[in-house]
Amino acid sequence: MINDSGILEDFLAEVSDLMATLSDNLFLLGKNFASKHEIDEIFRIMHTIKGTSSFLKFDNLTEHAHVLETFLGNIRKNKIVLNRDKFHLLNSATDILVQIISSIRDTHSDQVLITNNSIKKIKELNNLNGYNIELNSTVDNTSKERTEVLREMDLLVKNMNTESTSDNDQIVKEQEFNNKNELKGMYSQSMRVNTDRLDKFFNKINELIVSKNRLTSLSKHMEHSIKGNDSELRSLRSIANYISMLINDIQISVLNIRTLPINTLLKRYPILIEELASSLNKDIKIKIISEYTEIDRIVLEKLRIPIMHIIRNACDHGIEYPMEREKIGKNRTGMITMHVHKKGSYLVISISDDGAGIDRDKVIKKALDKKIIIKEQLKKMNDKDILNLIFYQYFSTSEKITDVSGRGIGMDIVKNQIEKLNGNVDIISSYGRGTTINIRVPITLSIQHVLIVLIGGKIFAIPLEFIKGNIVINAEDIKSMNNFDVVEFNHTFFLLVDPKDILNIDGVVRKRQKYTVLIMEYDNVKLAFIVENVIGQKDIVIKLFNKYLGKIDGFIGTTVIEDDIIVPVIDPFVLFENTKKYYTTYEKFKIVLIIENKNIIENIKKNFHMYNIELVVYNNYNIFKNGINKLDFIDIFIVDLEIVMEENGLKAIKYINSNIKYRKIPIIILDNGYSWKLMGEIKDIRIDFIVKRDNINNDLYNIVCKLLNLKIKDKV
Amino acid sequence: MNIDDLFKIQKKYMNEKKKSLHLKRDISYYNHLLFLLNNNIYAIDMQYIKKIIEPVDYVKLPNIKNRFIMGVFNLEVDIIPLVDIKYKFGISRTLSNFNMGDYKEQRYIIFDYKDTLIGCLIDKILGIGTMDNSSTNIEKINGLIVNIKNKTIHVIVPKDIFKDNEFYI
Repeated sequence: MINDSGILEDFLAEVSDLMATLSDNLFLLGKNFASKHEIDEIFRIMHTIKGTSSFLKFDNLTEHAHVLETFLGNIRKNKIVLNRDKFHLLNSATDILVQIISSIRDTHSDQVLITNNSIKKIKELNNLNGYNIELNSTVDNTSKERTEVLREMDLLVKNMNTESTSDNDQIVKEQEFNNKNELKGMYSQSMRVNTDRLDKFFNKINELIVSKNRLTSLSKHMEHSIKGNDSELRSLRSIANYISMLINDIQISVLNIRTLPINTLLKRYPILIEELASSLNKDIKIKIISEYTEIDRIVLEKLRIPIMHIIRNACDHGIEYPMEREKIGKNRTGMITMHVHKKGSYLVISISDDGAGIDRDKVIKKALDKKIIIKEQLKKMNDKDILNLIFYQYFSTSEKITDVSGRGIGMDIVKNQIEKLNGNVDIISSYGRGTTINIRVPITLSIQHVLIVLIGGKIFAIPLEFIKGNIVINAEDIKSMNNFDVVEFNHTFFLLVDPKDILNIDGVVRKRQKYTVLIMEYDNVKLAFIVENVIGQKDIVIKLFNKYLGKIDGFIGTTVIEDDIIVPVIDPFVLFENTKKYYTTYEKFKIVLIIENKNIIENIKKNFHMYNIELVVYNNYNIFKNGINKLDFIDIFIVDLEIVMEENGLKAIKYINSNIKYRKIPIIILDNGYSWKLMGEIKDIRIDFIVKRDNINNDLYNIVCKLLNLKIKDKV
Repeated sequence: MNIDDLFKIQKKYMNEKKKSLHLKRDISYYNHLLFLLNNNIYAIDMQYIKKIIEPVDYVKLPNIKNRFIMGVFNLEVDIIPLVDIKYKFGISRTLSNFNMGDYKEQRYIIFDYKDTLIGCLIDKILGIGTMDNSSTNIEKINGLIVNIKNKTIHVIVPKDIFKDNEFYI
C-alpha cells in the first residue's frame, strides 16, 4: 500500500467525487434501464477507479471495479440486458465499493469483510456471457482495450466525415463549443478543497465574529467613558464599524460556502426504498415533497444515517405485506411520504408511512420487560411519552431480527444523532393507520440570532426563532385557568411559565407588581416565559458543551458575549417540551361543543387547546346523539344557537335536559340575539349561562375558568 | 486472502495498540508536574497537560449532572468545564465563592484528555520532576504512590480523575 498521505488524500478526494456522480447516475439509470448515457458514464467511472486504485496498489478495490467495469461493458455491448434484478445487483455492488473506500479512508487498507455476494453473482453473469478478461493479464487487457478504443475512434472519425458532408455549420458550432470548454478547463469554475481545511477556516471565522462583538462594545464603552470628541476615538469608532461591516459580509459568504441543497440528500432514498422493498417482498413507494432549501453541509451529512434508519424501520416494521394490506382494505402499495420544509432557521422533516403503526400496549410490555421503565412511572406517562420509549437503547418490538432492522439500536441512533445536531425528534402513531416521525434540526450549526435576557441576576440567551415579542404585564392581567396562570396577547391566551418550573433556573421572584414576559409559540404550545429583564438581540456562535460536560438539560450550549461573559443558550424545544409535560400532569377536563360554525370552533380551540382541556366537537344533533353516550365525565356543554343550528341546538339542549346523567353539568349557550324568542316558547329548560357570540373571547373564557376553578376547589 | 488471514491482521494490529497503551501507563518514562492539594503532593504526567493558567472567573451552569463540575470558564474561544478535583478525591469541597486574595497560588491545570479540554483547580504548583527508575531514593508503593526523600507523592493519571462514564458519547 502507499504511504504518502498526500497522494492518498488526492486519491480519496477524487474517488469520493466519482462516487457522488456514480450515485447520481445510478439514480437516473434506475428510472430508465435502457439509458445509454448513464451506462456509459458509470462504465467510465469504474474504469477511472480501476486505473487509479491499481496505481496505488489497492488490489481489492481494483478487482471489484474491474468486475463492475466488465459487467457494464457487457451491458453496453448488449450482451447482458439490464433489468430490475440486475440493477439491484449493480446497486449493492457499488455499496461494496463505498465500504472499501471508507475502509481505505479509515485504516489505509482496502481489506474489508464482505458479507454481500453481489460481486460474485456479477462475476458469474460475466462468465456466462463470455466476455470476461482476466485481471492478471494486464498487458492483454490494455492491448485489447487499446484496440477497442482505436476501433471506436475509427467509427467516430467516420461519423464525423459523414456529418461534415451533410452539415458544415454544425461542426463549426461544435468547434466553438469545444473551444469554450477548453477555456473553462483552463480557468476552472470550481475547485476542490479538503473539508478539514474548510472546517478550520469556518472555526476561525466564528472566532472572528466573537472578537468583532467585543471590539464594537469596547469602542462603545470608550465613547461613554471618555467625553469630548477626540479624533483618535472617532477613527477607532469608524474602524470598528467598518470591520464589523466587513465581517458581516464574510459571515454571509461563508454561510453560502457551507451550504448544499437538500436534494443531494433526498435523491438517495428512492433507490434505497426500491432495494428494501424487493428484499422484503413488499410493494413500497416513496413520495418526497420538498421545497428548495440549502442547509449546512455538516448537518446534511449527519442527517443521512438517521433518516436511513427511519426509512428502514418504516419499510420493515411499518408497512405490511401486500396480502395483509389487501385484507384490511388498504392499497397494495405501501406509501412513505417525506415532507421537507424550512421553518425559520430550522429544517423540519416529517417521514410518515401508512403501515401498521405502533402498538401502544406492545411498547409498554416491552419497556416493562426490558426494565426501561417501572410501573409507577407508567401511570404518569401520556400516549406520546409511551411512544417515545422506542427511542431508548436496545428497544425493538419486532419479534424477529431481519437483515434490515430489528436489532433495537436503530431509533436510539436516530435520537442521538439528531440531538447532537441541536435538533429534536418525536413520533406520532395511530395503531393500524401509520406512523409519522418528525425531525427538526437547525439549518446551520454556526450562527444564531438570540435574545439576551436576565433571569435571577444571570444572563441567558434564547434563540429568536420562536419569540413573538416581549411585553410587560401587571399582576392584575394574569388570569387563572384550570390551575394555570395565563396572559392575554393578541386575543390569544399564553400560559405563564416560570423558569424555575421548566428549566430549574432559580431567581425570578413571583408575587410582584410587574412581570416582563417573552411570548413564545411553537407547535401549538403557547407560553409566556417570565424573565427579569430583556437586554437585547445578538448574533452569536454557539459553542456546544464538550464531552465532559455532556448534555445539560434545557441548554444547547454556551456563547461568549462582550466582556468575556459566558452565557448559556436555552434550548427552545426543551422549553416547549417541558411546558407540555408540566401542564399535562394536572387533571384533565372535557368540554362538549355542539357547534356548526367552523370559525367559532377554531376560535374556541385556539384558546382552550392547551390547558388540559379536551374539546369534543359535534357538528349537528344526529352525530351528537349517537356519540354522546360513549363519553364519560363531561364537565361542560357549550351549545350554539345559530340560525342554521336552531333546530339542532335546541334539540341538543332538550336531550341534555332530559337525561338525568347530565343534570349537574353546566350548559352554556352561544346567543345570536334571536334565541330569546325561542327560549320563551319552551319552558322547563335549564340553561346556566348565556354568552353573546360577539364576546366569545372574553365572556366564554371567564365563565369556563370560573366553572373549572370551582370544580377544582370542590374536589380539594 | 481469506477470512483467517484478515483476522490475523486484525489481531496483530490490536496487539500493537495494546503495547502502545501500556507504554503510556509506565510512570517511569515521562516528566511529571508536581502540585499541592491540601498539603498533599500529587504528580501527573506532563503529556496530558495542555496549559496552566491563573484562575479566571467561572460561571455556574444549572442542571449539570456531574456534581464535581464547579462551572465553566472561557479560555481563548473554548468553553471549558472546571472540576473540583479536591472534592473528587474526597479531601474537602472547595468553597464556591472563595476570595482570590487568599489563594494567590491557586491555578487551573487544563488537561487535554480524550480530545476534550478539562480544567482542574489545584492549590499550588511545586514544579516539574523527572521520575526515573534508576534513582535510588524512590520507593514505589502500590505502583501509584511513590516516596521521594521521605515525602509521599501520589502519582495520578487522568483515568483516575475522569471516569469513562462521565464522558458523553
